[in-house]
Amino acid sequence: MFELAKSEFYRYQKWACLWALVVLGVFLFSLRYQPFLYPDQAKSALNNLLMLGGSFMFGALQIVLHRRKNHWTFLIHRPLPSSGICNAILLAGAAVILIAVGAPWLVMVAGTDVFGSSLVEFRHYSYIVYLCLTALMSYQLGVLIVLNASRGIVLLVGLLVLVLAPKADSHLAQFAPVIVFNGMLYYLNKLSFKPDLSTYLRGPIAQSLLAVPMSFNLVYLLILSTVVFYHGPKWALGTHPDTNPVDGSLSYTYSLNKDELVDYTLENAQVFAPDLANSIRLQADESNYHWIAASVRSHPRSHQLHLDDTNYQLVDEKNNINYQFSHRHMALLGKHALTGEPAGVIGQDGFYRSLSEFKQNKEGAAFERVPYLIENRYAAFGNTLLSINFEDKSVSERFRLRDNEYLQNMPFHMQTSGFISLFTNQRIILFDSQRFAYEYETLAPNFAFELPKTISLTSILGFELADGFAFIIQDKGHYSGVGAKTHLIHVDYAQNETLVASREYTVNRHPNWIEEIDYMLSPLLYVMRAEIMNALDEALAIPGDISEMTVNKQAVIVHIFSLILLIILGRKHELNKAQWATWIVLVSSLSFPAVLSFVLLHPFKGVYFKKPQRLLSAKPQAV
Amino acid sequence: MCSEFCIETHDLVKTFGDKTAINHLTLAIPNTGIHAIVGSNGAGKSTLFRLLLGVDTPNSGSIKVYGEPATNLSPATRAKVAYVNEEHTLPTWMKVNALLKMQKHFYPKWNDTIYNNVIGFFDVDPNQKIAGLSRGERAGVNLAMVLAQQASTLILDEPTLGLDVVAKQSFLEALLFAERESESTIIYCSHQMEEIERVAENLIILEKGQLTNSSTPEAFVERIKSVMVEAEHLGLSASSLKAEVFEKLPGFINTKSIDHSYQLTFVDRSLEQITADLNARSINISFAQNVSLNQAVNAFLSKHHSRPSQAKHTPA
Repeated sequence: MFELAKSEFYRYQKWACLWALVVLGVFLFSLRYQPFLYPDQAKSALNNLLMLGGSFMFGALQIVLHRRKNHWTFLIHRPLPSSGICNAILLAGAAVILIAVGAPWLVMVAGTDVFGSSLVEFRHYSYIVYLCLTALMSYQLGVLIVLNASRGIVLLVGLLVLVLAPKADSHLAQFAPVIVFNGMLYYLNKLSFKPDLSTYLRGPIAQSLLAVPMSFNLVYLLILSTVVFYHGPKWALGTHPDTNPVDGSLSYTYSLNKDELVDYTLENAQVFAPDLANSIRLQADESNYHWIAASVRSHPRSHQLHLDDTNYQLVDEKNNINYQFSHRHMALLGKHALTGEPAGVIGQDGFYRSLSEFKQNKEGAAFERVPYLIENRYAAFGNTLLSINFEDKSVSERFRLRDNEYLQNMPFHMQTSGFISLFTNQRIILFDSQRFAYEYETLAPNFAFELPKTISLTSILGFELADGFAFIIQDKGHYSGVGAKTHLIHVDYAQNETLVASREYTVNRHPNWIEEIDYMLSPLLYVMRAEIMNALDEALAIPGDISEMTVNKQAVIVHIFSLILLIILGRKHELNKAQWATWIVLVSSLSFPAVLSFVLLHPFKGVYFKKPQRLLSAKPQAV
Repeated sequence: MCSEFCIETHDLVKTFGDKTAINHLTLAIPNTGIHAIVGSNGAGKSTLFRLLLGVDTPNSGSIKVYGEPATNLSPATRAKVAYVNEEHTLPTWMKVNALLKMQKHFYPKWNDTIYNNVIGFFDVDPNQKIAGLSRGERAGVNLAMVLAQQASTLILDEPTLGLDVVAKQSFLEALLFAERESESTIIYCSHQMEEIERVAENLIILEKGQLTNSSTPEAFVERIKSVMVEAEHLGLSASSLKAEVFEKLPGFINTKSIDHSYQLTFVDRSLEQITADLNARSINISFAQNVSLNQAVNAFLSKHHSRPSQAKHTPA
C-alpha cells in the first residue's frame, strides 16, 4: 500500500510544492499591507476559497484521472484489497494537502513567531490544524463526489457550511464537527472505492450517512425552488411583495421613511399614551434620527481561533508600542513595533512594566474575559467598559452594566446626534459622545431604557426629540412572521420610560406555506438546523418555536405523501428488509427531502424509464 | 480454488442503456494455451474483459475467474490474472525503474529474469520517465511487467494497436518467448489476423455480444468455403442476384463480384453440398478456392456487419 501511496504522492508532489511556494509568496506580499495574523474577513474568505476550493478540486481531479477507463483498470487490478488501494490514494492526497495548505501557513506563523513582533500563541498554531482538517474534508468531498455512482452526492458540499458557518463556543464545537465529518467521509470513500464504480452503495449505514446530510442540504434547494414557481412568476408579473409591499405586514414598514413609520406604527395600534404619541408624531418629521445597531455579535472566546478575532491590537502611537491580547495570560502584551522587544503589559487594573510583574499580581490584573478592543482606547467585555490611557498609563472603568447584563454589540457612534449607543441584552443605553471620550469621570447614561421582550429584534430606530428620545423597536416575531410587532417607546431626559404604543402585524407578505416551506417539507430538519446553530452560538439562533408554525397540517400531509412515494419507488428498486427499514425510518423522520435523497441514492437508468432491450430476446447462435 | 477453466461465463448479459454489449454469452476458457478473441468493433470484447476484471457488473448471468465471481475478486485471484490494454496504461509520471520497484512489491512471484529477457527486446532506458517512452517502448515495458508477474492468465486487449512494424515484431517475439518459458494461459484480442494466425491455439469469435466460434484457427478455416461461379446467364443484376439467389443458399455468408464472376463464401457447408445447392439453381462452380484465416474471419464477420441500406445508396 505504501508503495502505491508513494507513487501517487510522487505524481503531485511538485505541484503541491509549487502551490505552496506561490501561496507563500502571496502571504509574504500581503505583509506589505497588514500583519499576517491580522483578522480580516475578506482575507479569511479568500483563504478558504483557495485552500478549501483547491483541496476540493484536487480531490475531484485526482479521482477523475484515475476513473478513466484503462487507468481505473490499471489502478484497481492488482493484488491488493480495494480498501488498501483507497487508503493509498487518500494517504497520498492527505500528504499533498499538508504540503499545499499546511506548509505555507506553518512557515508564516512560525516565521511571525520567531522573527516578527506580532503575538503568536498556541491558538494561532491550532488554526493550522483546523485549516488542514477542513481542507482534508474538502478534499475527501471532492474524492467522494467523483467516486460515488450517485451524482446527488454533490449535495454533501453543504457539510462545509456546517463546519465553517456556525461560531464555535468551545474547542470541542470547533474541532469535533470537522473530525467527525472527516471520519464519515473516509468511511464513505472506502465503501465507494470498489472495482465497479457504477454500482450504488446499498448498505443501510452508508445510505443513512449519505441521506441525512443530503436531505439537510436538499431543503435549501427546495427553498430555492420557490424562485421557479413563486418568486419568479411574481417578479415577472410585477406583483412580488418586494416591490409591492403588503399593507398590514411588518415588511411594509421597511418601505416607509421615518415620519411615515411613526404614523404607520400608530395606525391600528394599541396606544397607551395618546398625548405622547401625538407629540412624537408631530416632532418626527423634523427630528434627527438614527438606526441603532441591533445585530447580536458573538463574544470573543478564550483561545478562539485567531480568525474569529474582531480586533487585532491597541497602539500606543507615541511610544510605538503595540498591545495585543494574549489569551494565554489574559492581558494585553506590549511589544515595540520595530524591534519586537517586550514593552509592558496592560491588565484589567492598569499598566505593568513587565510580564513577570503582571504575573505577580495576576489574580486581580488578568482580564475576566477576552475583551472587544474599541477605537484604540476602550476595552469592553461582559458588563464592563474600560478606558485605556496611554499618556497616563492608566486603565479606568468607565461603565459597568448590571450583574446579569452584557453587551451584545460594540458601542455605536450615532454620528449626527453625538451619542454613543450601547446595545445590551436588556437595555439600550445612550451616552453623550463628548463625555464618553472624556475619560476622567465615570460615565452616566443620558438615556437608557429597558428593551421590550421581543422574539426576534431586527432593528431600532431612535428619534431625537425636544423632550428626550423616541425609539421604534421592530420585532420580526417568529420565523413565520407570527407575532411581528413594532413598539414605540419614549424616554425623557429624566430617563422616565414610557411604552407609547404597540402594533401587531397579522398579515404576512408571502403565503404561510412559502414563509414556512422548510418547516413544511421537514419539521425535523428545520429543528435540527435551528438546534445546530443554537448549540454553537446562541447569537446566531434561528427563531424556531414550532408551536407557532401555521403549516403543521400541511407538514403532516407532506409526511404521509412522502411515505407513500417511498413505498412506490422502493418497490421498483426491490429493497431488502434492512433497506426498507432504513428508508422508512429516514422518511418518517426527515419527510420529503429524504424521498428525494432516496431517488438520488439509487440508480435512475433502467428503473424509472425502462426502454425495450434490443437483442436481448435474440437466442444465442449455435456454435 | 482449483478450476479446470480460468474463465467461465454462463448466460452472461451486459447492456448499456438500450444497447446489449454481451448477449447471453456462455463461454469457458481452459487453463492452458493461447486463446484469440476476435470480433468486429462493438462485438463486446472489451466489455467482456471489463466484466472479467470486475470493473463492470453484468446485468444477469455469471462470470467467474478461477472459480471466483468476477464481481468480487480476491487479491490472490487478481494476482493470477495480468491485463494489458491497448493504451498500455502506465503511470506516466514515474521512471521505469521506480515503476519496476513498485510493481515488484505487489507480486510475490515476480521474476526479474523474465523481466530482463523481455525488456531486452526493447531499447528502454530504466532511468527514463514513462511519459518519455515511445508507444512501442511503453508496450515493451508493460509486457515485461505483466510477464514478470508470472500470472497464470494473461489478458492482452489489442496490445499491438498503433505499434510500428518493428515494435509489433518485438512484442510478438517477446510474447512467444515468454509463453514458451511459462505455462500461462494467454487470452489475446486483436484485429490483426496474421498475429492471431501466428500465436493462437484457439479462436473465439464474438459477434454482437454472442459467441459464434470457439475452435482452433484451422478448424475455423475448415468451416469456411469459397467458390467462384459464373451467373451471367441468369440475366440478373448483381444486387438482384445476391438478394434473390445467393442469400437464399444455405450457409451463404458473403459474395464478391470479380469481373463477370462471383466469389461466394459459405460457412458450415461441404463443397459437395454447395455444388448441389448451386446446381439446383443452374449455377456452375468455376473453381473452389482455399481461404486464409484472414479471409475466413473477414467473410464470417462481414455477414453481420452493419451496412447502409441498399435503397439509400442505389443511384436513381
